[in-house]
Amino acid sequence: MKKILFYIIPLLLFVSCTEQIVIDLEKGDPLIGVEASFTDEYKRHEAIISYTSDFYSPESPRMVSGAHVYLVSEYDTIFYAENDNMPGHYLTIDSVAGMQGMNYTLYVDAFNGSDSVHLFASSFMNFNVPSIDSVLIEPFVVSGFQLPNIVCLYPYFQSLDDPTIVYMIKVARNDTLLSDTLTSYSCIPMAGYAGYYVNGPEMLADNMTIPVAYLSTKNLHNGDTITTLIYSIPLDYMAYIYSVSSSMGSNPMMGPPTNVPTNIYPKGQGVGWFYAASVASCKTKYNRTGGIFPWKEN
Amino acid sequence: MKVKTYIVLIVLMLVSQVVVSQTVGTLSGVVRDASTNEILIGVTIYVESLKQGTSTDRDGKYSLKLAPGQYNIKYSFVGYETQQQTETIKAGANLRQNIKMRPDVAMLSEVVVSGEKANRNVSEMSMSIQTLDMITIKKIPALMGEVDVIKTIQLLPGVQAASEGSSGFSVRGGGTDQNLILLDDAPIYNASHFLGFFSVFNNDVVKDATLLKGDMPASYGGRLSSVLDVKVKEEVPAKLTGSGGVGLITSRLALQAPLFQHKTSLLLAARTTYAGLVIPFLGEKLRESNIYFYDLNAKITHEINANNRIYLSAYHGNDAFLMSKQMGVGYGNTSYTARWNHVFNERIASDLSLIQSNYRMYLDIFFDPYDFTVSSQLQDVSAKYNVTALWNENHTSHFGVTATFHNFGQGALNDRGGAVSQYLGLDRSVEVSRKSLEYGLYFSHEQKIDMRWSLRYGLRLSAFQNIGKEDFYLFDNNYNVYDTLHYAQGEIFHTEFQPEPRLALMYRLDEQSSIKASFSRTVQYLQVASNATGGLPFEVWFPSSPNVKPQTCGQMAMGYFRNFNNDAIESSFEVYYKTLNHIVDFKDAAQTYANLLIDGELREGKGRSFGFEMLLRKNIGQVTGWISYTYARSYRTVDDINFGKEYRSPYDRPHNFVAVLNYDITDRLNIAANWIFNTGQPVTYPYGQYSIGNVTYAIYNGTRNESRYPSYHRLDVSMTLKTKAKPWKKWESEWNISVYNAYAHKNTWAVTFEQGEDGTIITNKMYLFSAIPSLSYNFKF
Repeated sequence: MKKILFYIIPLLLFVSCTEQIVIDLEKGDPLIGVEASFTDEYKRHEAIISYTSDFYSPESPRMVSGAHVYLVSEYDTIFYAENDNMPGHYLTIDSVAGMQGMNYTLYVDAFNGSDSVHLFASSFMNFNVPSIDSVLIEPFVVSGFQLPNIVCLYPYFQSLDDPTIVYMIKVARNDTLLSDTLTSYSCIPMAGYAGYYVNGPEMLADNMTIPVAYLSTKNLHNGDTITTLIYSIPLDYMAYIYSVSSSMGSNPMMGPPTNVPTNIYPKGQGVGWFYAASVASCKTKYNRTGGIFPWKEN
Repeated sequence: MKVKTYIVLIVLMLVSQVVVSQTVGTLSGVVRDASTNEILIGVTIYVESLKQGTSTDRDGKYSLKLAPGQYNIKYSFVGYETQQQTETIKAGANLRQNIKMRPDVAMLSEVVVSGEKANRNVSEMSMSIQTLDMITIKKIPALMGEVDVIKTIQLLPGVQAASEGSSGFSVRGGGTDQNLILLDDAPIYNASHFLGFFSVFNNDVVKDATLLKGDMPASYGGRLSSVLDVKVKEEVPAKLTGSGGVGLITSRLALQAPLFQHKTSLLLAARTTYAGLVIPFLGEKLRESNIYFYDLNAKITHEINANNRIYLSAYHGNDAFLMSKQMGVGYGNTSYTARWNHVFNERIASDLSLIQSNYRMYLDIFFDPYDFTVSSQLQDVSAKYNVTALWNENHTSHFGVTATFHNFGQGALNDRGGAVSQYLGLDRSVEVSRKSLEYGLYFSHEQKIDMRWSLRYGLRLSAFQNIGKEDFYLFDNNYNVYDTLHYAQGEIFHTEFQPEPRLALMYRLDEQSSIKASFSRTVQYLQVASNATGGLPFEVWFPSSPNVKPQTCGQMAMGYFRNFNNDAIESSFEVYYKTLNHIVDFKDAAQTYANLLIDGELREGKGRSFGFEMLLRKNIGQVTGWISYTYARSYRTVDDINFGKEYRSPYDRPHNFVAVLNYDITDRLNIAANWIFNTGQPVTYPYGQYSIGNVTYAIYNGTRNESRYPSYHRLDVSMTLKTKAKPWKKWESEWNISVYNAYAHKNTWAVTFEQGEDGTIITNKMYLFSAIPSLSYNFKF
């Protein structure tokens, strides 16, 4: 519930001042960072392997080249090859698709600068909704006031009856992801509402309405295709995303700062996260002048 | 069996002391200020021919056992004219002599009238104790002109503020939750106002404040580190009196009146802030914001007869903050104390107290669908019976019993919007409450062995019981719930007993110096669900249980005390060592709010603190004040934290230097200054970064509190100008100008990191205060 404290901090901020400083920090051996996902989309899946760097290092992260990367499931082993044009970026050699309900383990054998390390991370690919029925795009209204230049996306779909499932939302305009930054992903834990029909603006139950995404209308044009992607992700990956958002700084109201969690093992040798996810998507045409029309592409 | 043994021991000790000679007489009475009728604590009553004496207790009472005969009795107290009377004592008779002492007009303009006996630090058994009267407190420069008991306590050796501006304080390396704060015997669970910038104690109603840092009498229990005992005025004034003040952000008024032929006094006081009126003008974002606090004090003292007095004391305070109609935060305390003081005879008196205390907090968010209220509270109902027996001038006993019912409203969620309950996987309306009973049975005896040696020993037996109705979670070795036990309403499902021995020894080197040593074991059954170190005003308390053992502390201390210049200057050197067991800390990234499974977030361990304190204090003269230096270390060892190795506690700040100076330039003009230096607070800094796309996050190496904030230092200054005193003028007033943090040192409150637009990491130091000038007008009539 650390997020609640973020609401409290402004109480002190209104009397506080800040000043930019430089502090002398200890330096340590780099760790290997792994950022990878594996989905049930048929494509070449990517794993990005890089070194951690000194805290104040202004340079781009140093990438890990020459690593041996492979993915193991109950039935198969899938190998990755390093992208010749992008060091540290590893792609599955062939286009493949994961299977919902399967457990996947990613292995990375790499050199951390002084030793060889054998890293691994496991993730279960949750089941996903069979389909998204439609997506409604509406102006953003708060307390009866319509905010200019912002619209909200409300999906219609039957959620799965599993309280541990979290839906992570990504949005693309004309097949280009609008926000592909980790901290900009919107996550919706179903928890007690698992199994409900997600009913657009009347989402979930009672009067509760949660848009799954907010878009600026400045770069939207009539006729644009908005693709809503719903990733069914494990609960701990959502915790990882939120931890990344709040990882910086020390504050006497927050307790000691701690590491962002990782599912990369052995502990203390790697950072980052590997997750498996199943994906459902829906395309919607955006039409500003004619009002807002939900439209589903077959 | 163990408990029975302790009880038998207590009874034996008690009986052994009931040996009072029938061949002597008694001289007893109450000493008061002749002009205000205030009782005087610590007045020396001395029989010159016998070279024996005593002093008045907290109720201004004294009692002396004397052989039949005629004696010249001397009553003396700093700032008052010494009185001498000749008394004739008869065998078996009690001579009651109430004394009214006249202030020494010649001295008054020059001295600080201390509530302490002048040589108390040398002649009394207690060590590690500091008593501050309101005259001293009012002279110390204060933040925003609002003089404050806790802010003054933070200037004493061995005491450190939890963070800049905070009302939380750490005593000898202990946590902010390890201090028992009492207002007329009622526990105050959150002593802060205005996010910690002020405390709940209105300086117009406080009589005095005593801080016990180590040598804790057996009558106190329930916290490991210290007791801050704040007493509200209770004397019957000669006429209607009032006092108050108008400051830049607060105003206050207190009235005290005698009733029913001066047998009853009534005190009413109120204080509030108008800071909220200013906030809307600080910016568009704060237009619909408000902040306020208020508190009310009331006290009735009634003297039924010479042997019976009753005291009714009440406090109610609230804080609230509303930000742009999107967020609201509030917290407050309410307490009631009813005390009946009964004097059985000249030797034995008792106090029966019934106490209720309530602490509550809430957080409201109004941002649909994040529309919810989180709240918690702690309600105590206590009964306490204490007997004080002055067997003779060499033997004094205290014994008694306490029982407290704790009702923990550990957390309630009312999720109007539904989003939070969904996130947490809870029902939209959740309320977690836990109940417990805490008992204490104690006995303490102080004995003057001879002219040099004195001894005090005591034992407190404490017990704690968890009571249903409760769903109690059992955790495995990995802190995962493996079973849930359901207990019915009123069912006692866990009982804990703990012995708390206390021992103190004093050797009087001469009239001006003494050596003291003490040992105490204390037990704390209540925990705070917060890993914040800044004295967060929104704390959630919860009980120890089968999952969470009570914290214990053993403290040894030794000190050398010496006064100079006829007690005008006192000095002390104390060294201490504390061991702590079953202390709790939170695992990394613990979820401490609205967590039903909070026991699983805790990690248990041990700790140690050690250090020494030096104090040089001048109480009399135009220039008064003190200088203190404290060296204090505090460490913890807790499973799963810092790889299980010992680490600095958040309160490990080795060097602390304080200088407090008051200078009465004339009868009307006073200047004061204090300067404080502290080693920086321990902090955990990152050593690396990891970047994913455009996002960078910090990497920590798993060690805790290895670095420190920069050192903290601050100078506060003030000047007070009184209006000319004239015999016919009933209204007295003064103007106070003060500057907090006069040289505007930017003391670090927090350090944050953010990613700049070019991807580089920017480090920001957050500080709360620059130089803060203030002006206040205080009056009394």
